[in-house]
Amino acid sequence: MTAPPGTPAVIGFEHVSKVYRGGRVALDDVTFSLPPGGRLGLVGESGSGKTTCVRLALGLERPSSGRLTFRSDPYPRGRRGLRPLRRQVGFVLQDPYDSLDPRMRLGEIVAEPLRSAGRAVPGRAPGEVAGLVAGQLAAVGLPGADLRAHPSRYSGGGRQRIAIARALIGSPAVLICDEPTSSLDVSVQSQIVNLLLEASRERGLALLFVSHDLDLIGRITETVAVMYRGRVVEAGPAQLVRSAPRHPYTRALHDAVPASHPRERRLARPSAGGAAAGGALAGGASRSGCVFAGRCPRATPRCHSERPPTVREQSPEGPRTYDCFHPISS
Amino acid sequence: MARAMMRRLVFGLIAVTGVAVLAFLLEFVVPGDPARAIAPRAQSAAVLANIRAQLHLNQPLVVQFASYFGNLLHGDLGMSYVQRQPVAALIGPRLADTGALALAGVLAEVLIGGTLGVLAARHDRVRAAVGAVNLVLLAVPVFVLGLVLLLVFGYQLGLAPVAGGAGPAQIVLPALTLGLIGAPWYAQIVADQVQEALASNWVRTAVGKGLRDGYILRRHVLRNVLSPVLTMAGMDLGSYLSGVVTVEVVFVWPGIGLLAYNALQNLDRPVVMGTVIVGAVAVVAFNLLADLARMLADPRAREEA
Amino acid sequence: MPGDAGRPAALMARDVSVRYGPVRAVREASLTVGAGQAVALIGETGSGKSSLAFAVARLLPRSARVTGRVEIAGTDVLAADWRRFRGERARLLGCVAQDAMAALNPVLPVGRQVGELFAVHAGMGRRQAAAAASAALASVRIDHPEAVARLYPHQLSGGMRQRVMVAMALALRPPLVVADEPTTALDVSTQAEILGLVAELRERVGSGLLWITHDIGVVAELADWAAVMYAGRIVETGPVEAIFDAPAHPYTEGLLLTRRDLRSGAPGSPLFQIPGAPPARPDEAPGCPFMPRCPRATAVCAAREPPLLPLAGRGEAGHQAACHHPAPPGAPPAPAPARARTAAP
Repeated sequence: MTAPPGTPAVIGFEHVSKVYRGGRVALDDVTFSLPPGGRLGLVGESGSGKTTCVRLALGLERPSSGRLTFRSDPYPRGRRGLRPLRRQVGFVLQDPYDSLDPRMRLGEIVAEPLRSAGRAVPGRAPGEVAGLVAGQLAAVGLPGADLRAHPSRYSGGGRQRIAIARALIGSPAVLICDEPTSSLDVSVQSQIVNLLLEASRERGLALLFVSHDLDLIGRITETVAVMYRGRVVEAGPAQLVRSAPRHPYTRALHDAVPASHPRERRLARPSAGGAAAGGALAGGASRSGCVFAGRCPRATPRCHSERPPTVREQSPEGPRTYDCFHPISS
Repeated sequence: MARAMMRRLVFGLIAVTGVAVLAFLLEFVVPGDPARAIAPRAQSAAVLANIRAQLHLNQPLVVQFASYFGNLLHGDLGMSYVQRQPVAALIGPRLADTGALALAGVLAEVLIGGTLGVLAARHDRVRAAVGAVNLVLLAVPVFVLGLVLLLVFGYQLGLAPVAGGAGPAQIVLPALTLGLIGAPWYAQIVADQVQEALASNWVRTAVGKGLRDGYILRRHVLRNVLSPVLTMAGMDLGSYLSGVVTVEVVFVWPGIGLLAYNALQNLDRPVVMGTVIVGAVAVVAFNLLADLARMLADPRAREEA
Repeated sequence: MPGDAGRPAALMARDVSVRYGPVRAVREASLTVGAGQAVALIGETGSGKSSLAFAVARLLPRSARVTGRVEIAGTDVLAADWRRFRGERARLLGCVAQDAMAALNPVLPVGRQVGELFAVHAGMGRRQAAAAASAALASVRIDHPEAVARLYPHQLSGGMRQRVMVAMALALRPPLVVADEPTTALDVSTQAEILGLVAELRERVGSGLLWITHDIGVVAELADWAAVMYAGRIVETGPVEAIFDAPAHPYTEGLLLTRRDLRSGAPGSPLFQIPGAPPARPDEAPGCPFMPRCPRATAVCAAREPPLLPLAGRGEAGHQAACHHPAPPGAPPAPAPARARTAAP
């Protein structure tokens, strides 16, 4: 589902950086864009900056530098300015137990975006809102749900369905999903992902899907951006990036996914334990070189001292970029 | 950590100054004439005026304020109106006695409350009993408890002296009074914390390691309970040092509380001011010490600071 | 790495049931971990897998009632006097929890927490125990073990904390290690490190391993044997290759298909899904608890709960399933129709 050329991106990050107090660099010159109705995946591990991207895209924080656009307009400032934007941006967050107010009733939770969008819900007939809410809940697989129930009645999967209903009721243009299935059981994960895919397809909804799971991202989104320590190290068509990575980090991420069959096992071999702990302790990669240099098997002295430029490459599937002096050739 | 402590120290100084200024101003609001309190039988206005002039009470408030706080900056707390001695000399020895009582009292409440709390956390039946005891202790006024202890242990059993004064034998009953009054709070907080700890995953790990219950309690659980107890004990120590008036009055313990009580009755302003300032300093100092102790006990508190 | 015959089984659990009040969380589960063998216990939330594992370790809260028979390296665990068992426990089994942050005491340095095992169970003095703790940390490939030993849990990364847990579990070289989803909360690359480490340590220490997980990929990586739990029962068990090659129970098939589809399905197409949700109270209905979600269910499935039985006509010894209609051997797993909209109450 690619947008016709010339359509402005729903959400655009242009050279966005985010530096927190104390000098911690959460994002460093990040650029990507999400076309209308498109599906973009952000993949990375903890500390990669993917959650910071979500916070910026939701307008919860402002970038330290760079430009953040919504339909080619810069993000508005302040609570009031953000209000119309909030109506356009739905979200589903990671922890289904944390993201729903336990004291609110189902009907209130799902109707919330209508309220905060400034549409006078009180002005509507109460039955109309209840009808909308019930219809939305049915659409996410909760038909006949009791609108006066509290979320505690629901399991993790049920709560994510409620969160999706809440996100969709305001008819947003984009849905931001921050690891929406990572705390769910596998069988529930498929159900929730199918719900999101279906909503995206039927409503022409753009999807920004954040996950640590390269397989899952590759299965859902058409484009993927691989993040490491606040930088996008590789981006391009999801299938291509997954099957033929250029950046050694993408490759490492790919190789760290457990096998699908005992005959293919690679990780749990005695020799594989050779890597000493210290991913986190090794830390403090010099900001002048490549962010992955400290852990990279292909690193040369140059990688430690010089920032690799972004290489652009055309492929039949679409353009891809990566930041590496020593890319893996296919 | 040092910077956090410095910041707290500055806030503490501001607090002490504020309390002192407020106390000074309040004394002028309180009705009563110190001159009359000093010479209750003096009839002539001239004598009273003379006394007032000697004490500089005839000067404008601003001047009195400036001179008092000027002296204070030099460490001079002034002279007592009634006892004709430097306030510092009056407070000094009493501070030691009150300090001994405060320390003994806090020790008693931590021991009694801590024991009750641990017992309550570990045994359901004890919990109900401790709850009832807590309620009774919270309801009983301090002086009633003090008098009952005096009656039972002093007069009836003859186990403790009843004559008053400061000494190792005399300290037992007032310290016990403080301990029993404070114990319910400690019991409550310790019981909650121990219960939470016992249900935690890390205690399950410790059980899984085959450690004995007593060992787990001593080495693992109590360390985690330490920091709220230290905070409370520090606050108590500070506030007791500023005078435990009721207990000192009941047991005739010659401490700051008794001094302040008498000074208030005699309108002996310099002594009242002295006790207020010493009390405020004590509260601030022990809160700081408690913070410091908490940081030593809990690595996470260290990093937050 | 099959169990060697010379040593008694690391774990033998027979007909273990766990009740919390009226709720039967585990029903007559039997499980064997051979000496040095790695067994994966697979299941989703509420399947009873954690209850079973903690029951085996006698680590359930007092409110839980455990029946059945459990032997660890020949020692009867459930019948043993509590005090005596406590003394022996650390020699019999080590435990690795899912959330290492919560499972380590926040106010004690990790070195002390490892060292006290040696102090209490091997009678070592303070300095000796500290040295042994550093050696244990080094054995899980922690660099600068003496320095790390002085750190507190919150000062370590998630992977390092889990390594500390592994070091504690293996400190006394127990015949059995019970690991409760130890890599679920970790990043994939950290998970890969831990999986490699565990494989290496298994070879070196020779402990049997009971690894609880919901991740089929982790099972493929490290298990010799697998047991699948659903609604409080073991519904399929067997050698891991047999389970992956020819799953018999439709639930196992569903889990494997979900995984396979995630790896190789067309991007953007609906994911394979097992419809529905597990029953809230599986012990109340008479039939097979998986029936409402099963593509092969028939009338008999509603009437009787199928017992766990050896599968006829299969080469692999020990492959068992609790299903009235097990998939025929050799047949490729037939995907259940993926319904896009399914209510989950």
